[in-house]
Amino acid sequence: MSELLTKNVSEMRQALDAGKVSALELVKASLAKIESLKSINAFISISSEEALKDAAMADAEIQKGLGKQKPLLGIPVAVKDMILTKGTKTTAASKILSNFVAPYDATVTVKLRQAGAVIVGKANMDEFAMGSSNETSFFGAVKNPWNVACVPGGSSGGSAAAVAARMVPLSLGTDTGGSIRQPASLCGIVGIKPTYGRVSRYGVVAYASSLDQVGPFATTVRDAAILTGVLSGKDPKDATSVEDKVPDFLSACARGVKGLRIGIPKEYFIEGLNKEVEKAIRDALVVLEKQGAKLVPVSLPNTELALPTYYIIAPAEASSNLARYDGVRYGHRADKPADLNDMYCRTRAEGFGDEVQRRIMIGAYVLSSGYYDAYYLRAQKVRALIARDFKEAFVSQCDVIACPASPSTAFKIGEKAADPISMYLSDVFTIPVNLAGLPGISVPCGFDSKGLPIGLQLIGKPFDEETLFAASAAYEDATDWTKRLPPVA
Amino acid sequence: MISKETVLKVANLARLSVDEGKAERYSVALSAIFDHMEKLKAVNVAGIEPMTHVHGSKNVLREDVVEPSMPIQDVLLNAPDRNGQFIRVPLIKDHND
Repeated sequence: MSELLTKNVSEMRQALDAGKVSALELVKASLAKIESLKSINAFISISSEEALKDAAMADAEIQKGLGKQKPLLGIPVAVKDMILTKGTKTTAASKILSNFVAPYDATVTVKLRQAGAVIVGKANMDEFAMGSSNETSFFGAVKNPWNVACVPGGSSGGSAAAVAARMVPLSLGTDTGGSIRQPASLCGIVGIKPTYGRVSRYGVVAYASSLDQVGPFATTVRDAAILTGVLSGKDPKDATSVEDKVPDFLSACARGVKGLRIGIPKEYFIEGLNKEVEKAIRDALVVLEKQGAKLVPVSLPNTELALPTYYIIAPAEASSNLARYDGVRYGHRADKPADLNDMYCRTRAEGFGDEVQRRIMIGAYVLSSGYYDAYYLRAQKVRALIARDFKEAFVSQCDVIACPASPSTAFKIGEKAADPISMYLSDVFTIPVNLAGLPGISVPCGFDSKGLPIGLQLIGKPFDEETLFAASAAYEDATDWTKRLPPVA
Repeated sequence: MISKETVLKVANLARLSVDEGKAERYSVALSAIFDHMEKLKAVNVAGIEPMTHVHGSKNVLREDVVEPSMPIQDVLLNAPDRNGQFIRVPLIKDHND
């Protein structure tokens, strides 16, 4: 049965509809795998009881032939603990929400359930999605299934590790500065951050609202396309979600890359980029060229400004969003407060971890009177310049941009934990995409000499995820990277 | 350089209790982070509009329709302290004020 867990979603769905396996058996196999790989620490909570109930219901629906209408019917799925799931804990991996039970479902949770998915548990993550290694979680670090001494990346490290180790075929993450693409790269799986506005953020714990986006992890490009289709669409409950027809992403996977102009930005092939990563990316570009794509050199001159811009804008939004954790209506509250202010200050100092407090401090500083213009307002203007770089490249030079997803492969647990700036640099290639609101995908494109995975990032025009899927699927079809399993799977 | 005094002022704005030792550590850590932001100061941003929204901002309106609210017991489920249907909080003002 655990053999079935190494298959892709289409194969699982076929086996379910053909009656070769029941949803209950599949979900039980997933739960058993999660249990046997507990040491990876990919989950904060596991919903065995609800999952088994949902699986039995899925089996009844499969009997009625609903498998044709519900693309994920009976498929076990993990959800990042940043996303509300009614009646189960949603902690954002923080002490301050460690006992918080979600009173309602996020829109993406509703969409998963409507598509027939069975939620087996809530995935570990960096606290409030602030981190690039999944080491800031109140519930402990997640381990990389390819090498358990290494980090899985972050912030959606649990979601990535769970899929990489084949505990589940699909999971949800969130991506504010690379939190889907970077862990996908470090764990050797597919991860996509859709265009800002493509997927509803309703019921997702807010980190930086102008950058946050929900997206899928999968073992193959086509599985990611299926899940992206399920998640996408305008939601009246999220005013930033966009009224735009949701294309058939799965069909787009068959388009190929003949004549596709792939932009290669010179600013992404810089000092600090690991040589083995660079070679794998260059080799991947040759594969795409052989498939009929045209490689075009492009320039995104403001790239080096993206990191400082992000570390002003994201903490500013975070300091505002996280003001709601005050110990009044929900979450941790400090014991025996002397007065209201004492309650606020101690609740927050006790409830938030170091990195979260550091970003709240950065954010409060750049928004404070006297510094606002010099930092926050200026960062918003530089953000406009970064977005303009992409726009200009897409207007006349290329249809999609290719670069590494991460400057290195997975690093050792503890290696960067004491140095925030070296940690922040892990997202140097993913952050510009969030600032510009564009879609980006990471696709496995090789391994370094230590056997750790490398990810190719493709960046698209706004709402042109189809081209990302077309190019990624063409690359996947020409290579066998996504077929390789980590030792624990 | 971000001084210890600035750290304490910002911590108060952010409602984070910070002791002297922590304030000193923040002063060092935040100064190092802000050193990396200095390069933004050299950028020519004359005439550039600040980007607040990815796809341009427009007001979004909806019909004002009455819908059921979340049941009170669900709202109170996560309250750290309560008294019947109410959330209990510490005194905001002293009785003698």
